Amino acid sequence: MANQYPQMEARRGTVSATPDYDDRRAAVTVLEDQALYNYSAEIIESDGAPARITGMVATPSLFRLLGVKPALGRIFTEAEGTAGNDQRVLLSHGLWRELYGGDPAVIGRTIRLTDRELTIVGILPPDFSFGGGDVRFWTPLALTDRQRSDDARHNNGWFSIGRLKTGATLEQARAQLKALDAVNLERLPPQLRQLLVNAGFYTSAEPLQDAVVRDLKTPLFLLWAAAVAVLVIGAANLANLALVRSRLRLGEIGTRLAIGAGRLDVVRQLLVEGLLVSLAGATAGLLLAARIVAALRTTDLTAVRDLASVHIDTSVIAVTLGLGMLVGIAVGLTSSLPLFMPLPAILNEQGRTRTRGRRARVSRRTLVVAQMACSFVLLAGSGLLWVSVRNLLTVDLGFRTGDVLTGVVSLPREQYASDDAARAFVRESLDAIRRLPSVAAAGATTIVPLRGNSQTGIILAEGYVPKRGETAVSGLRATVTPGYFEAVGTPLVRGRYFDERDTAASTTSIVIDERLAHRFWPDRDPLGRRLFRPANARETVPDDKTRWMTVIGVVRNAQLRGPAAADDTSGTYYLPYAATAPHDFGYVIRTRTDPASIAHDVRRAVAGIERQAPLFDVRTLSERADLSLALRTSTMQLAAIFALVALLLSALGLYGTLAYLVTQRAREIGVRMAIGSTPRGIVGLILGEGLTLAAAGIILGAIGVVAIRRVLASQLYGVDALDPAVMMLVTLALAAVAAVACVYPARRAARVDVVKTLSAR
Amino acid sequence: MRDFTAHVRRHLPSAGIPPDRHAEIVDELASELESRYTALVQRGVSDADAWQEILAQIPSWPALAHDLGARGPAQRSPWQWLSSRTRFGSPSSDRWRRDIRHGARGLWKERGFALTGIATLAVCLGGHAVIVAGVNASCFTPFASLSPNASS
Repeated sequence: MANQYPQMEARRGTVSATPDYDDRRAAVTVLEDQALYNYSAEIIESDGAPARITGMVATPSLFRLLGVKPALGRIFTEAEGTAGNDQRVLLSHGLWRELYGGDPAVIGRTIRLTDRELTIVGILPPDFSFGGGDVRFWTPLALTDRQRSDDARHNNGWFSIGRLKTGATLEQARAQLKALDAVNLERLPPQLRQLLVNAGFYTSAEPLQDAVVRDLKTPLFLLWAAAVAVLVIGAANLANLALVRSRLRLGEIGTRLAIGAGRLDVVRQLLVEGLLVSLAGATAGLLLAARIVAALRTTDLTAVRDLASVHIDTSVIAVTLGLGMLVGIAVGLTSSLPLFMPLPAILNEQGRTRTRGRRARVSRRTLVVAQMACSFVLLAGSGLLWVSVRNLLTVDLGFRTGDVLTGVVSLPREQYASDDAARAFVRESLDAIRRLPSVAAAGATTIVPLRGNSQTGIILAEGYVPKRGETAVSGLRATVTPGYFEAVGTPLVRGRYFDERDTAASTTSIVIDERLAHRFWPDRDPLGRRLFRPANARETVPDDKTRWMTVIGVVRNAQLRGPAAADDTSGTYYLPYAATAPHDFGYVIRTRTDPASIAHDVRRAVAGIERQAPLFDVRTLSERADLSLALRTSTMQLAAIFALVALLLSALGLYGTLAYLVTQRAREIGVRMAIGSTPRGIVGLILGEGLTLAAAGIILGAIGVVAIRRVLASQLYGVDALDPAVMMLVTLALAAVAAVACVYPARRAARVDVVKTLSAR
Repeated sequence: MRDFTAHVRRHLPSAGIPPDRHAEIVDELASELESRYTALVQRGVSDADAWQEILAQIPSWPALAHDLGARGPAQRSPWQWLSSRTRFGSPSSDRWRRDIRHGARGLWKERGFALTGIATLAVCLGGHAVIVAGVNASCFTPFASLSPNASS
């Protein structure tokens, strides 16, 4: 379940706010249990060095909801989900083995996580995994009174899940959520209610599985369709080949029939041969697939997707062998077709009556046209994906990715409880980094560009009157230190960047990007104008307690969430770090040399100030740029491979069909030559035949692309699904390949020996 | 082991059949007879009896040669060929084993065809398997793997 504001933020929400938990437990009665959770990270001492591990903060109900039985100890009790009783932890089986060697006596002992001592209450079973394989510990979520109050409404930051009662439907849950939203809206002051209504606020509910694979589903299913198309093309080729082969073997088969073998015996024999080939092919295919999966694990894809669960398991093997058998049976039966002719016809080897020959030729042509059509769709699809990736690579990000190193830290909560301590750490660590020889500029930010994490928040301008039906403006909220803009290279449009003047005492500075400036003051100078951030959803009307922030600078739009996320929000605003001193932030360091080469020095510089805050997720900004496109790039590459294989196979199919037609029509060609056709005319005849088939395939393929343009469009960027240039290129490529496939059969046709052919019968 | 090739070559009249076609037929007949003979022996039939059985399967060599050369109109209705003239009644696993051996030999003779087929399928099924593995892992494997005896 997640809160959605479609009119305010284009990006689909995935999270809910803390008061929603109590609300939904009371109102959504078709759910038998509900839970709230989010990811967290802690530092542990491992082998004498601090290491960062990922975990989860969850309401005790999560484990009940998932039906987890601990391997050791127990799961959290409801009481441990209240403030003051939450100093408990559950460990993953892996972490338990790693830290304690699987010692069962650890239950009840304490473990130090960052700067807290927590009591270990249980160990989860080794096969338990929820929300990714790298979650290694769980702490109970104890909601504070403030978190439960209306002040925390729409302050979304938690994943909210529930399990439907037996027999209850998702629709019922949605209806109850809708009723709940309506009741909650009624309680709000009219102005805020109007804002939420204008934002299109509603609570979404969908199966957890769908929510998790949302961005992956369409590309995966498109790729699957492509793989099936390639398989069908390949199987069609095999059937064709088998048909030719069994015709060539008619003599041998006839011999067996003549000495008394039954036709069914021969059919069985051909089936066995078909199966032998297809099962050998399937086995080789599985070996190949295992190699490819292993190779995929070494690519960028591993950084954005957990590939550990992708493996060639029994179900994949079963599907592959099953398909292989199907193909084998189809091939065997196809090659048995010529058997059902009278024996003398079989023994005459050529054994074709006029009608049979024609019918066979028609079906062969149909196969070739279908192959060409599939290839067209695959080529067009991968071509469009390629153009999309190229478009994304040329998007102006609003910052420069070259020569920048980034890394993230989390300050221990208790040790750095005061803002001053955090400010001091940031100042000292940045000084240490700037002292490194090859560092040109350095700053810290809460939104490391392209890292995938981001915060948004409502921002309102003084005197700005929303147009009728317009909702509040929600922008990306980044908290940055002086030096950030210089390091990341976001150009200044007006005013100035943050500097040492923007200290804790003067918390009134704000830098906004051009989009926000344009939104609030389309035709006036934004410098010196005032904005405010409502502390909670009810304070959207300024009063004398409102903390105003003055615009000191306007910077270029920066695509902090990646090139494709351009229109997600209405803009970005930057707050000075000194004002709020957040504990989780990253460094952005511009270097004069290869940024990767100073990673070690930066780590040491930060560790020198606080051992408990190790730098993690250290990457150059260009690496992050590649990673942000890794899913699209991999999809494009796989699609391209499928398209090329399809092209090759259908070219072979066309070639085989034409070559066969030439031998079958040798007599007709001979007659034509005898009555005066030139060899050139004959070449034209065969080329015409081949290109007609290709043209039919291209037309059918184009219709196919039109049919799937909607699905395709969801995967494209900056290019229309029916882009004329791509269609043209694909048509030309297919025509060229088809022409090449025609050359050899055409030349052979032109060399038909008239005398020999005509005297043969 | 008896020399089936020599036996067939000795008996099959060569008149009316082109020489290379004749050689082909001899090969094919010999291998067919040999496999039937082996099957008989495996079932416990004595060497001599098996040989007699094989000899009895071709009552008239000239008639067979005529059939094979068959230029004339069909003597029998085609569907008559559907029923084997000889039924071995051997257990079906034996028959399958023989078929597989025979099939493997046939494919070996046409390695080009077999390799093309295997390579085509390896690429097609391999690519398909990679995607199926991906789809399987992300869409059909539950987000949370529950313990087997989870009741709630």
